[in-house]
Amino acid sequence: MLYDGCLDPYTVPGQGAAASYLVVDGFLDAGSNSCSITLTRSVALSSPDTPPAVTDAVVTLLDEDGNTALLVSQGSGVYSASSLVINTQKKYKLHILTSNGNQYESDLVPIQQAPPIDTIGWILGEPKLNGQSISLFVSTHGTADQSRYYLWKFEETWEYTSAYLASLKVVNGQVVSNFENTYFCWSTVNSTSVLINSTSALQENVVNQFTLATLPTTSIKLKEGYSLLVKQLAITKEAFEFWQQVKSNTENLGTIFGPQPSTFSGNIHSTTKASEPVFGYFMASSVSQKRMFIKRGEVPSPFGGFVSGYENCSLDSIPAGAFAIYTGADVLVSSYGLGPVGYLLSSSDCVDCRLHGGTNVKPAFWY
Amino acid sequence: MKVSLRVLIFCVAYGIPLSGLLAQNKSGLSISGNFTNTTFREVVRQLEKDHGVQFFYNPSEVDTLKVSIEPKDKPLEGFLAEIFAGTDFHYAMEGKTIYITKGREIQTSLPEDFFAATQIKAQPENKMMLDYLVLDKVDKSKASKEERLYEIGKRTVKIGEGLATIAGHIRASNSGEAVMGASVTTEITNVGVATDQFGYYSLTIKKGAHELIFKSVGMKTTKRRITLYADGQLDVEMDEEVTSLKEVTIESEKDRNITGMQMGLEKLDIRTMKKVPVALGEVDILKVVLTLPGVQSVGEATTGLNVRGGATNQNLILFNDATIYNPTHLFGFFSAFNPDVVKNVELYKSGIPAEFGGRLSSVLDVRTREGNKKKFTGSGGIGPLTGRLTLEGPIGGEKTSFLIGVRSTYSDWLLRQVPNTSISNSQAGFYDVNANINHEFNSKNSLYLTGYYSQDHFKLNSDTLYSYQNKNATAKWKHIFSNKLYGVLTGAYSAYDYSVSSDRNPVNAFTMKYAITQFQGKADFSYYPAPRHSLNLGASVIRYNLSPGSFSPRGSESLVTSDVLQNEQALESALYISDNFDVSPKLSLYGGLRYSMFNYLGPRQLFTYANGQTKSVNSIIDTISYPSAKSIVNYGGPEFRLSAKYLLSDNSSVKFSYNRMRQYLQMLSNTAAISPTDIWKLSDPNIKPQIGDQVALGYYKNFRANTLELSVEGYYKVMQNSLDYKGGAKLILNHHIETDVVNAQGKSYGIEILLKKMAGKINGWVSYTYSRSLLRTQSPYLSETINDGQYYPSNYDKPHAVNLIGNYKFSHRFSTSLNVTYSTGRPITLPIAKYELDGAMRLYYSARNQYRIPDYFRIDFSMNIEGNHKIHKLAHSSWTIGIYNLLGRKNPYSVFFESQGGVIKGYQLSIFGQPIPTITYNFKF
Repeated sequence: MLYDGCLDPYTVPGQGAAASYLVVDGFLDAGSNSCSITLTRSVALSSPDTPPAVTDAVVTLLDEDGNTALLVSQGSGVYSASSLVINTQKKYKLHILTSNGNQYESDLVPIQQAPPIDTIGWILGEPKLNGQSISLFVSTHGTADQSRYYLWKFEETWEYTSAYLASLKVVNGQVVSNFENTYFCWSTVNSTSVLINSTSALQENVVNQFTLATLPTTSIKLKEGYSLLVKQLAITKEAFEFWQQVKSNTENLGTIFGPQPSTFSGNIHSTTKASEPVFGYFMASSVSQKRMFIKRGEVPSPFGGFVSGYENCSLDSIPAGAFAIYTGADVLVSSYGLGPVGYLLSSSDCVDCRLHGGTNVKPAFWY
Repeated sequence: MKVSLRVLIFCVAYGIPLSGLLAQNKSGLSISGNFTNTTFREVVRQLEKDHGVQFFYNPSEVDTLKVSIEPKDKPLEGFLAEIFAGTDFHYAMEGKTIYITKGREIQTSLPEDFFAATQIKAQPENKMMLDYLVLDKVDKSKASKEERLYEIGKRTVKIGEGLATIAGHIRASNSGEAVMGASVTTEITNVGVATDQFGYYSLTIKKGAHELIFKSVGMKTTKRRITLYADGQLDVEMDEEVTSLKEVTIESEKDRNITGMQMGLEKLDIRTMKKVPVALGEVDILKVVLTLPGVQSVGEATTGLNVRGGATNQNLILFNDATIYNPTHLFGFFSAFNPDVVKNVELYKSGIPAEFGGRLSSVLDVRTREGNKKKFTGSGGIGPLTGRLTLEGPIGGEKTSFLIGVRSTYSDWLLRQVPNTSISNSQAGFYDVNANINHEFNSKNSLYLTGYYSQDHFKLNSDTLYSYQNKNATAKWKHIFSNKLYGVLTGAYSAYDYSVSSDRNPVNAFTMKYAITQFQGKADFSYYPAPRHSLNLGASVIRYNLSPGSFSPRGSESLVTSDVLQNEQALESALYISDNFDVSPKLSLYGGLRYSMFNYLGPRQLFTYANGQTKSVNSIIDTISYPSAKSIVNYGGPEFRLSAKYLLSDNSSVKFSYNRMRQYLQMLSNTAAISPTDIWKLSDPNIKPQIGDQVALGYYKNFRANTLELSVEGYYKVMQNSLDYKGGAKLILNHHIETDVVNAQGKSYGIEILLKKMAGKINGWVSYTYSRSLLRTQSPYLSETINDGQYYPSNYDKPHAVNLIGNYKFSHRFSTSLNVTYSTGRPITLPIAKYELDGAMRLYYSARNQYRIPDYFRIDFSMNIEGNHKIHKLAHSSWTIGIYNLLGRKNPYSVFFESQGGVIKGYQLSIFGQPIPTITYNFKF
């Protein structure tokens, strides 16, 4: 008997336009007197679309006395302002007016002072049969009267190379030398997990080696050179609880012992329609940041080599004479023999490192 | 000739001294002749003439007595018995002198040494009882037993004033097993009692003449005419209701609905349960219980019952007095109870008597049979998945009997029906063993020993092995102090454990274990001080030992670090007393008080959490170590149990009940999983015991000469300290489970309407239930608040439920039944949108349980084909053919979401999306 029919599609009832809720992502950076907010909308669960940006809203920052500052739309849903006059003793809130006339407002939030980051670093984990990892950590401490709740974001950048350095290229059917850098690239990504910690249960306001991420030593990130920029925010207890809910709701669902999901709301509400959900939490904090590097070879090289993403790359050789009729998608890498006798080719994916997500421009902070 | 032959067989078979009976047969006279339509006087004249006997009787009394018999070499005694069968007349014989009396038997005609002298000397008051029993056996005619006048107590010339107590056991005539829950009432008043689990009753009534009526499920109602002189015993054997077309089972107990004290009680006899269509070829007790109003389950293949809006862990499931922690086999497809050994099931939904405690919602009391005391018999069956065999019989006489039942799976047929490949590639099985021995030392002391062992194992996707065991043992000693007082001393052991292990990857190979054991001792006394009072009192102590979880490496290569949770231990004790008081024939009251105490004991280390903060790893401020046996925290308090019944008329009544329950042990269960990895957790300083209060009001009416029974019951229930889980709660191997649970307040209410027709060719019941089950969290902390602190539906909130069980009997050998089930789909929490925040996609879930899976609707059909009903046959057999989910409706069991190519798609999974036919062969020898 076949029981495949027991599995049927299920559509969540009552979905559609209602699923399009405002998402507010961002905070007031009281250290640099700037504020950047990204507005997007949620999409239906089954939608293949990426969440659309909200570009035609009016976003205003208000202090508790009613003084306002306009955040200017930068496109892609980003609204920002710099050189703001911030009084750290005051509370601030966000006001949003969308093009459909709906108004949203956050609660007034106090400005938190993020203490400086003491250290960031890495620790090599115990070797296991399935490999070894490093943990990236942050340590900090605050004074007793500062917030005991912390939020971190990080930006990691690593250098990598394509599989082959192309010394030649074809321009208008002619083989010429290639001086463009398609070999060395730098990739930068932002953290995606919710990184929070609290010292409320400790006698002192000390965070000791909080793990931000772990990297297997086989990671391509560690092959040529790695940089980690950690940004530290001090947040309120309410914000901490909000992020804790975000974390448990999205980071470990769907397993057989999957936990119960829950709903929760942030501190931004619709003033037009109170029941409308708004996602996000408006925070105000100074940001302290610190950068570190892990240079090539500092982490013991993995026994089986790095997982580079170029494992399937190979070189093909063709006689020089055949070049004219060779119209494949492959690109030239180099020549061999005098004359030359022939050329080595590979796919552009194996030659142009930019196709693996990075940029060929060395970042200004790079060593 | 026939009669004497029976007497002889009986005597040989049961080893009863022949002398007494031979004394009866000493006349040695054989009667032949044709007495068609002859007057009794004419018969007397003929006998006196032919055989030289002399009759003494009152001629006016026998005026109307006519005889229509054609005896051939029939002994005189048998001949006389036949004449007087079904009449009020008795005869006594002394030599060749025969005395005929009406209404009252001549006592002196029974010699002192009628039976073994020792018995009589030891229990002189038993004499009458024993006499009658044997006489009953000599003459199987029901009429003669019912017409005979039984004298209870020492006969006096004048019947004294006041009250006397009659007590005794009610047993089944074919097996000698106790008939439990049989009612004993007097003819006139509605004052009556029910037999206890041992078939024992005690009834205090006025001295004098009475007619006692004995009724029980599945038994033919019988009556006894008695003259009560003083305290005495009367044991009664009841005949099984075999295959009568018109009178069907419960008919005999038809007015219990109206006159019974208990409300919210559902009694199910195994005979009734066997009629309900079955899913997998086997009678499933829990599935039948699920057809009763007020009982629901989360889904088709889930473990556990939700009674009146309570959680699954709020049911006290007793199997011969021992707690069963996991009442299911094989993902809930089978119940843990082998139908061949079960005698009956009682489910208390409200008005829970004071002797029960420890769970909020209900008590499910399952009792097994004792084993046939008269002959060796066996029964069994084989279905598509399981085979079972039960053997029972006496051990050396009628005082001891045993029963052994074994059941086991022999195929993975079921799993291959499940659409999920990871399940259909799995292996699963179970077996269980029941063993009972009981022994009657004498009429005052009996010992009952029962044991139960079950084992389940399944290998999910041929990788991870799950297994779990139930181990239970009970020893019960019953002692009858007097007709008015008896006591039962019970020792019970219950253990449940499970383990999960995997060795696919030797490096990650692990074993995870969980275990709970419980030792219980209790003493229960029943005391009948006055005719209208019956008192129950007792005490119980339970010792819990829990190993809440261990995770350890498996094999030498494993690099898994072990993680062992600290053991937990506690003591739960209780004292109770209750009185059932029949204020008037119309009004009865029940009042009970149970005082329960709970001590959470060391050794244990406990975390202390910062005041004014939500309990989380971040708010732990201290760890306190408690030494062994140190009482860490105490909880306790009184639990009141009150009920009242008022008869509005002969066929209608109203009942009211209130009860408070306290629960010190809760199950933590992740409802998303179909796994037996539920954890039981004791109340501790951080997790408070649950308290539940329920009021219920019911109206009961019988129509059409008690053949139609209507019950309407409404209830309102509040529960404190119910548990629900925080978003992202981790329940397994959690060293600080208190950080992941939230304290919820529950309320549930509903109305249950049940219409039963237990007589006639068409019988069965139909019920409609409207019920709500809601929870609310109350906490100042966001993370401990669900749905903004508003009431939200619990996982098993299914407002509308309709159940129909219908049986139609075509003939003695062929019957069909239909089961129709409808219920609102259960609530679920669904992701309804996705959004990007802080660099990652997040899911937006609806408020907890704001959506429902589609409604559930199912029809099952089954038919029973029995072999012929010749009583003397080597083996009786029957076939049961059933179709589960006749319409093949795809009832969703769960809804889940899967990301496919960046698109999240929803699916609904049904467990049995097609009709499932089964065929089972049952036999009995």
